[in-house]
Amino acid sequence: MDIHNQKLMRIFPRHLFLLLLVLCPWSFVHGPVFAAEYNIGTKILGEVKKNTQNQQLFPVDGYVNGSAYGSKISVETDMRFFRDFDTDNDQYDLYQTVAHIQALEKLEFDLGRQFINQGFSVEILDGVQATVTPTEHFFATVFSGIPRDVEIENFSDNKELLTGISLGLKNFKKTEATIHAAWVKNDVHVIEAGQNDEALVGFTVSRQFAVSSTPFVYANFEYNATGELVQVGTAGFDIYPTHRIALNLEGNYFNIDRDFAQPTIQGLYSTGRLIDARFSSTWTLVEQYLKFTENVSYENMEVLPQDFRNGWRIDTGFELAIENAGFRFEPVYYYIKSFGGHVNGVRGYFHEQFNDLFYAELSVDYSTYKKITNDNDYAISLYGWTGYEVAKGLILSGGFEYNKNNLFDKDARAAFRIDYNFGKKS
Amino acid sequence: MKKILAILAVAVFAFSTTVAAKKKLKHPFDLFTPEVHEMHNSFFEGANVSCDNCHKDPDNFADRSKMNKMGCHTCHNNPDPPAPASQDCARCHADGFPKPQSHKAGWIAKHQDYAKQNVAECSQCHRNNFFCINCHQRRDSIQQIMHRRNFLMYHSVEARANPRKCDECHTVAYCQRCHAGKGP
Repeated sequence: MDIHNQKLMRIFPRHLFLLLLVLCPWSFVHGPVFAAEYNIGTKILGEVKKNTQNQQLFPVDGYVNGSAYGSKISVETDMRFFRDFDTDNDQYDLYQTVAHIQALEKLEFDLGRQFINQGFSVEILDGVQATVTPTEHFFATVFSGIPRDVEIENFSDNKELLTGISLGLKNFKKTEATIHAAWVKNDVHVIEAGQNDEALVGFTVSRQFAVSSTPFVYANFEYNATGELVQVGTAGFDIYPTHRIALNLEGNYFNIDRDFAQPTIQGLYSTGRLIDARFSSTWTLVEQYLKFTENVSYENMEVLPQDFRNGWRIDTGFELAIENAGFRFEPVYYYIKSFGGHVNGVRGYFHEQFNDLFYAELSVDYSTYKKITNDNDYAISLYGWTGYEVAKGLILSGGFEYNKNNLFDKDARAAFRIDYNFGKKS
Repeated sequence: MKKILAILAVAVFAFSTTVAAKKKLKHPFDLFTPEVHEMHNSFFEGANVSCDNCHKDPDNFADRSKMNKMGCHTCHNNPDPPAPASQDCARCHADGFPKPQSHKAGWIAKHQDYAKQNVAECSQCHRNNFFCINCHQRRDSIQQIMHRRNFLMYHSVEARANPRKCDECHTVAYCQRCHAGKGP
């Protein structure tokens, strides 16, 4: 049995389990459950290129998605197949296969592999989430399962348990407030606070003020109980002085439990806290046509004990859109500075929708950088795509890419893409 | 050669704008012809929906720039409408929905704080969770959507400014994969 088949054998029993997990609850739901609306889509994306060892590659990504929405049950699934036809490298990712079940008017279940966002980091979880909304303004959510990562190999279970609860107040006099708690285990068979087990509690609150500029304040606080430290503190403020101007100011405090068994990238670069302050704004210069945007972030991090270093991240640009002509152009300047060096760059994105069927887009990125390693250079990347809807729901596209950087003296790639979607709406 | 390319580019652009101009998108209010309005009036009267529900400025009834854009939602997109109404959003919003005001000014940087407040509010528009997965979890070696095209060349500089941003998606093992000599 080759490696590919061994992988499939490993994968499918898990899929069978997930399928059963999704199908079983069907029998507990009363009333009509047929899908009033469904959608099925596929996307195939391929490229011909060479890697840094001058080895020819032909990677192809295939995406399949399906969703069906009924009155009491809806299901979603998304997956990716990958194969490099030159190296025979295969990958398979199941991003979600989840059933959302409205079991009772005020009780909802989500079962299967699902994306969850309950207060701390976002996760893909093999498990169950239940939400009860006893009143219009109150909700409670509990969830439990195995978190999955997809970063390097196929989906793995670096952590073995994530379970938690959220209690929230929503849409109450323009105020939202939620208390979150979660428990994370690296090894489900071991109990060891700090090293193996992590207990987190969090609190979020926001309020919108009923005046013409609709100021909005929000805050988020996360405490690591096992590490006995505040790991996130955020306070932010939005204001819209006129309908043409939007302003956002945000401050963040971050720290990590350095005793926890899973190392972090913040832990690689620092021995203490990181603070971050950001100001962002959007200015509508010509209504419906031209906007100016900017984001300026300042960071200060304790790199070594009592050795604090500053960082800056800035990007600013214009968004020009002529909707009637299907035209969009976005030039942006960016600047990054840290104790690792500094970067100056410009990028431009151009999109033209010739008509409902035919589009073209072009993007260019030019960067110069100086690093503490004296690795000073510049990089250029350019890509273009054009596509045509040859039949209803079927779009064929072709593209190219050109790179010049310190990995590739000259690198040209050709790509294709096939999108096909069909479905039924109620 | 350069001249020919420049002329060709201008010609393609001119042609495209001409073609596209013929396909001018219809605003939902443009669908509201006198006949459609007449049909709605019978529902409005029966459900006691007053004129100023949509005609925000009674002195400028015909001025579409002074319409209350949320007036339609009194019946449409309302689970308990005062008069029977289609709940099919795409009937008017065929080309997508207008973005809320919050989606301006640093939205990508701040969206997690909004989502932590009330995730159900996000799913009112972003119904399928793959909308989130597409950035947070999806692997794609061909089309990059999360980082700038040249990011690989200077990621060490940005990581030293705010490594917390890296942690949101990547593990240390991901760094080690390349820095241990198995680069792209």
